[in-house]
Order: sequence, then structure tokens, then C-alpha cells
Amino acid sequence: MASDTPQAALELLILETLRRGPNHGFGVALSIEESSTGLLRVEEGSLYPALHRLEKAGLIEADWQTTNNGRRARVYSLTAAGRKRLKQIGKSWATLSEGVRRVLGWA
Amino acid sequence: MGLNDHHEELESHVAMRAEHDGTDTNAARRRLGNMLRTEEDMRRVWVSPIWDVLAQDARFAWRSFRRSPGFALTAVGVLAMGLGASTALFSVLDRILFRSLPYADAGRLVSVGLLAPLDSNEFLLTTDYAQLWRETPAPFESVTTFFRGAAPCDVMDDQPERLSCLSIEANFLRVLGVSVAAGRDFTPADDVPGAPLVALIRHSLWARRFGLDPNAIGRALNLDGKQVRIVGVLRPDFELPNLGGSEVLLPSQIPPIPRGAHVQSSGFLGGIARLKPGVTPQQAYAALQPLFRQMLENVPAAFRREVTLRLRTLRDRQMGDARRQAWLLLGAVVVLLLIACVNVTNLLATRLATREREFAVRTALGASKARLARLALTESTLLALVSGALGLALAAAMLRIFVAMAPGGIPKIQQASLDLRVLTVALVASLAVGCMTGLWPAFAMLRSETLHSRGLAAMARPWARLALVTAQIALTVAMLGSSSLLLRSLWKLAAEPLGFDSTHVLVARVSLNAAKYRSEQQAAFFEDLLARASQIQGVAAAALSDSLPPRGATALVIFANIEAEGRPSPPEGTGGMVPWRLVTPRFFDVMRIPIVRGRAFEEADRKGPPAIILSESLARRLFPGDNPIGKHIQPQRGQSAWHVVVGIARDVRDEGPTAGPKPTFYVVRPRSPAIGRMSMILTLRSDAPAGWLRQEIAAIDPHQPVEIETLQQRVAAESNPRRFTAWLVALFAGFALLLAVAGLSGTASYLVAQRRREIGVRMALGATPTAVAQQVLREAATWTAAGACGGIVLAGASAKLIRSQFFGVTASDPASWSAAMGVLALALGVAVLRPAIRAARTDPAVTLRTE
Repeated sequence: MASDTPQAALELLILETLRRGPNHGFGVALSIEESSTGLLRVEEGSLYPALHRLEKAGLIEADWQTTNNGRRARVYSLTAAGRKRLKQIGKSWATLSEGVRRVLGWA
Repeated sequence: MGLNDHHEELESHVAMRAEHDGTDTNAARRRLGNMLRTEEDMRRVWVSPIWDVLAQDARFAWRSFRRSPGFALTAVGVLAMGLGASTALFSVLDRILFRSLPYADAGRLVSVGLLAPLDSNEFLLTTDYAQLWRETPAPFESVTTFFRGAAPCDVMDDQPERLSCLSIEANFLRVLGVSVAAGRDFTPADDVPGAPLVALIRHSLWARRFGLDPNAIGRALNLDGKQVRIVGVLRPDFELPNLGGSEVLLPSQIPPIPRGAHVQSSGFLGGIARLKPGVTPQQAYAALQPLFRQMLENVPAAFRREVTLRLRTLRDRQMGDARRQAWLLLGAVVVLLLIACVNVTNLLATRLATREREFAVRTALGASKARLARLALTESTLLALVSGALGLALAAAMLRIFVAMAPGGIPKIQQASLDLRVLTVALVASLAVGCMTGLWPAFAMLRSETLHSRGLAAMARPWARLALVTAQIALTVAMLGSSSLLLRSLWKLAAEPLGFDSTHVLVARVSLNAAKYRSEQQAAFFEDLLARASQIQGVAAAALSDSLPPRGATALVIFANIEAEGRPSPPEGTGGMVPWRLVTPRFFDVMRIPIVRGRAFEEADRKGPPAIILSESLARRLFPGDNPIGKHIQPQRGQSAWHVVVGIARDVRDEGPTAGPKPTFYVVRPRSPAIGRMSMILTLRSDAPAGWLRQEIAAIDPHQPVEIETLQQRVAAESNPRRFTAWLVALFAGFALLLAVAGLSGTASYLVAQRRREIGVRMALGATPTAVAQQVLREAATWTAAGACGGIVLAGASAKLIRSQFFGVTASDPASWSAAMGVLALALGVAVLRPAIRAARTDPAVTLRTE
């Protein structure tokens, strides 16, 4: 995964978000916005293709589940391969801020 | 991953967003952008590019083959046989038919010269060349020559060695458009008579004698007692235009001959010319006519009418008759490959029919017809590629067999190899075979209806499969018929009496070195050799001669020039060439050529007045209705001594069994000939091992090289090309028969299995097992007969094409055809026996219960 493309940055953000626990697409979008204290607004149109790319690559897996308020949602979780990939990149959320700023610049 | 899933996931997102933001769903939707596009993007993530799909198909096909290994192995075996044979044969024939000669722009190179009855190749006389060809004729860019007939030459340095030397004009390599690997090419200065002697050597000699030492260039070589400096080395892949093996090339140094000067004898040159761009051989031929008329003036008057001008491409000169044989063989192997394809299509069709349910399920699960058709093609292509790979291994083995079958059978066969070019053709052939065999199944898939795959059922329908089997049998019959005609021709040839007995005769060719042996020493050497050889234990007779039948005669006279005592007047024209041989008295004993009148030569003839023995046909022509014994003959009118006729010998098929006898005469070799011969042939009627003969020769001169073979080997080599063709076609016909047996057996078994119920019912109603078996056999006989009829028609057409290869048989030769049909009937009988027995053993109770 080349990390100098906005697409790669988005995928990195997704993986980092899912590291904290399984979540559905909307949850991921929300989590990214909150973590960046509202600075970062995820382009929802590209969020879902990115999720599916990661799923196809085997870094995350998905399952239809029922949420707390009884809604059916496709919930994503990090796979072992995904965890390994994150470690390989070896960058904490803090050091990612540079990348995030870059994403902002494009967004 | 269905499309609905993507939509539902996005809808769920929209609902959650609306709830979270406290807005209506439309606003949430807008935030997501173009929902349809997003869905499309999600879908595209999952759709693989084309190669992934192909790999997936291939994996699927591979798995399905592993489920039915019997089918896969049979199909691969059949195709590998066809592709292997085709590949091996292509590698052999490519150099004859397609591959361009290893010269620059080889299509423009032609061989040009006079064609006269004394030789089958065109030649230029040195006189003509020196007088008329020094200025390049208009249609040519350049012309070069080489001396016809390479001469043996001896290296007389510390490591003596017999080599073959060829004299070429200095511009030889430049006209061919090739360059030297090391050193330099000849220059015009090298070609001036009297210039210091220089030589170009072949790469093989450089490697063998000098270990590729660069310092060898510039070194002098003692060739036949003359110091010759090596100036250059030819490239490893250099090929002489006459395909000869000469390893040393020398400048021919043809002296200038002024116009009108009378020249006693003239050398024979091979002429090679490069056509100017855009000039066709036909145009060049027409443009050379004035020059040809000038050349005719140098030809003896008696000869003129029989001399023509010939200009043909260099490839034609090299390959001669081999091209026709090459096409014949190529045709045979293509038919074999076709049979293999038909066979595998049949197998695939059977398999598809049995997989009807699988395909119905796959269709129900959403596989499109196109996808299934593609799968059928993928399967057949995969089969063909695996077979192609296996076929290459087979081809490598077959190539060795081909080369061993007839070493001199086909030009350039020794160079045949599975190189990149052949591999490419093999790959293309495999892909083509894959498409061809898969086409019908794929087409059936496209036509099939979703659940009731009628298209597939149609493939299983007997008539379609029977049509395939019948076509296969027809092709097989054509091949069997052609091959038995060719084989019978071969046998007739071998049985044809040659006029001499080739069994138990050992032949040793000894060529002396002119620098080492002077004229009288040569005579002494051969007398010594003859005396020693006659004393070897087990030698019944020994003789020397300058040449041996078949062919090989090196001495020829013009019939019209023979002066016979009492013959009224010489006939019109030349009367053709009469070959003659110089022999010692026991020659007729060694060769077992009967003397029909008079006597054979005696020792006394070697010292007394010159004696001559005529062949029957020559005696008839020279002395019609007269007794020639005791008459006198001058073999060269006015130039040679008068010889007395002492005997008449039975005719010998000197030009091989395919030609009639050739008038010949024999002259006894005097004990001390005026002119020594450097090269003589020693023949022994004996079963003594060749080693003993070698010892005797070594006892006279340990450095003297000698080539020993049996006369039978020599005679057999005469029909090598025919033998090669006939056995190969027979081999292919054998393969074809094997495939026909497999095809018929498979189809019959399948049909019996399909009709088990019908057979059960009939047996329950009282049909005997014999009657059931008979019915199966009868049906098989019907398709076979239909195929055989088609095959005979095909064979009739192909016999026209291969007639030139026949000898002593006609295209409708009854013996050949009955043999072919007998083999076919026997093989196919065996093929249907098992299915017939299985049908007869059907247990009506079991069959009816399972239904």
C-alpha cells in the first residue's frame, strides 16, 4: 500500500479506526470525524469502496449484524492480516497526523 | 457478494446518518453523493480483471480434470501424440520448406548454369566463366562461383589429417552476404593466379584443430605439400550453398582466358548469382538468353541440342526432389493431427453430455451461457497446452528416431532441432488445437437452454458422434492406404534385381595424397593393397575399380564418340552419356555380374593389348545383330587406343532400381597404368571383418585414411529418401489407426451404456446375448464401412499427389488395399469387441430394476 496517495491514507485511517474495535461503515466515518475533532470529514462516497477494497485484500472482514437499536448493518472488523499490516506500517495515530493533514489538503 | 448487499449497506448507512444528524434521509443521501456510482465502485472492487477470470476458469477446469483423470489422460495422450509428431516433423521439414537460407536476403540468390545430360545439377564451364561472365550479366547484382566437387586434401604437418577442400571465388562470402567470425575475408588480390596461397577455415576445424586459438589466424598450414596461410575463420553457423562439409576454402584463382582461345579441358563451376532487387528468376532467365547462345559456342557441336540454360533459386537447387516428399509428409502429419482433434472433440462431447446436470446447476446459480461456453474453450485449451508440453518431450524422442531412420533421407536433417522457432510453432499449434476441439462443445453451450440443456443432448445424439467416428475412420483409411502403397513400393524396390549381388561385399574407398604418392607410386600402392587383400583369410575374391554401381561412375564418354569397328556411321546427336569403369580382373567375381558371352578379364589382359567388356545393352547398340566378341572399339574416337572386346556382361541397374539399365563398358586396369589414380575402390567378396582390412592398409601406410562400408549399405542408401517417407507415413498411419480404435471403442461403449435399458428390455423379451452382440457389431460395421468408403475416395485423391513416390504399384494396387483393409477390419473388430461383449452380458433383471 503506497502511503502517499489520498486513497492509501483513507485506508490507513479505516484500519486504525477498526483497530479499536469492530464497527460499521457509518461508525467508521463518525469515528474518523470525532478523532480528528471534526477537522476531517470523510468523503462518504469513497469510504465504502475503500472498505470493500480492504475486505477483498483480506485486511478486514465483514458480517451482517443487528445494531443496539435494532438496525441491520454490515459490521467490519480487523483480521490478523490487517493487524499485521498496521504493525508493519508501524505508525501511531499521532505520527499519522502528518498524513491526515495531507489528506485535509486534498479533501 | 450480491448487488443487493451493496445497496442495503448504503441504505443502512443513510438511515444511521439521518438518525445521527437528525435530518431526513434525503439530506443523508445527498451527503453520500451519487449513490448509484458508489454502488458501482463497490461492485467494481469485486470484479476481477480478465486474467483473474481466466486463471479462475483454468483452476476450475483443472479441478474438473482431476475428478475424471481417465478422460483427461486419454485426451492428453491423444493430443500429445498428434502434436508431438507434428512438432518433430515440422522441425525436420522447416529447413526444406520454410526457413530462409542462412544468407542475407536469401530469396534473391539463384543458382545458374548449363544443364546437360551428364549431370542433374547446372554448371558453368571455367572457359565460359572466364570469357563471358567477368562482367556481371545485367539481371544480377553480383555473381560468384565455386568449383564443383570438393577435393580431398591432406594436412601434412605434425598432426596429419584428411580434410575436404573447396575452391571458391574471392567474392563468395560477400555475394552470399555473410561475414567471417575472425580474421579477414578473401580479397580480389588472393584470387589472382600465382598469389600467395591463403585459406578460410570452418569454425569446426578451428575448434577441433586449434582449440579456437586466435593465433591460428595467420599461421601456415601444410596442405598437400603447399604452405597455405589461414586468413580467416567462418562463423559456426556458416553453411556452404552445396551443403557440403568442406572445412577449408581456398581461392579458385581462375586464370583469365582470352576470347577465342582454344582450351583443352575446362573445369566445372557452380554458379551463384544475386538478382537485382525486383528482378524475378523468370525475367533473369529471359535476359540471359543472348549470353546462353554465346556459351553454346564453347559446347561441342554434338552436344548443343541437349544443353539448356537453367536458373533456379538456391533453395530449389539444395532441396531438389526433397520438397515434394516434404509436402507429402507434412500432409500426412496434418491429417494425423486432424484425426487426433476429431478424437478429442468426440471425448469432450461425451463428457459434456454426462455433465449435463452440473451445467444445469451452474446455470441456475447464475452462470451465463457465455461463461459456460468460455469454460468449455478453457478446458480444451488447457488440455491442448498440457498436451503440447508433453508433445515436446515426445517430439524430442521422435526427432531422434527420424534421424536414425534414414540419415541421408532428407537434406539438413542432422541440423533439425527444437529451437525457439519450432517451439513457437508448437505453441501456436497447441492453441489452435485447443480452439478447434473446444469449438463444438462451446457452441453447444451457447445454444443450450437453461435447465434442459438440449444443445448438450444434441451432442450426445448418436448421429453426431457417429459422424465424427466415421470421419476419423475415413481419414485413417486414407492414411493406411497411402502408407501400404508406399511400403509396397519400397519392398518392390528392394526386391528389384540390380544386376549384381550386393550381399557379402565389403567396400573400401582409398584416396591417396597426390603430394605424397607420385603416379607410379600410386599404382604400386594399389597393387600391394590388392595383393594383401586377396590373401586375407575368408576373402573369396578381391578387385579394384574406380567406381561402383549404383551411380558413382566418374568416367563418362559421349555415345556418339565411341568408334566401333564396322559400325556404319555415328548416330544423330550425342546418343547420351556412357559411363565406364576401370576394373581389375576379379571385379565381375566380386560383384557377381554374369558374363553372358565371351570371357571375363584375365591377368594376362593387364599386360597385353587393351581389353574391353561391354554391357549387353551397349553391345546391342554398337553391334546390332552382330557378335561383338573380337571386334575393336575406340572409346574416344581418334583419341584413345583401340580395345578388343573380350566379353559381354549382364546389364547393371546403374542408376538405381527406378531407372532402366544404362549402357556401360569396363576397361581392364593395366598393371602399370600410364596415369595413376589417386582414388580407387577396393571390393572384397568376403565375410571378413572390416578390421582386418584396416590392418592391411595400415601395414602399407599407417597414415592412410580409408572409408569402409558394405555394398548393401551403399545400395540401401540409394533409397533412403523413399524409405524415410514410407516409414514415416506408415508410422503416422499406425498412430491414426490407434486413434481410430480408441475413438470407435469409446463411442461404442458409450452407446451401449446409454441403451442399456433398451437392451435389457429386448433381452427380457427373449433376445439372445449373441443377437445383442451381433447388433452392436453390425452397427459398428456400418459406420466403419461408411468411413472406409469415404477413405478410399480420399486416398484416391491423395494417391494422385504422391504417385511420384510409387514404384511397381498403381494407386489401385489390390494387394496394398487388401492389406490396408485387413488391418483396419482387424483393429476395429478388436475395438468393438469389448462393448459388444458388455452388451451381451447385460442382465435384464438388474437393468430394469435400476430404471
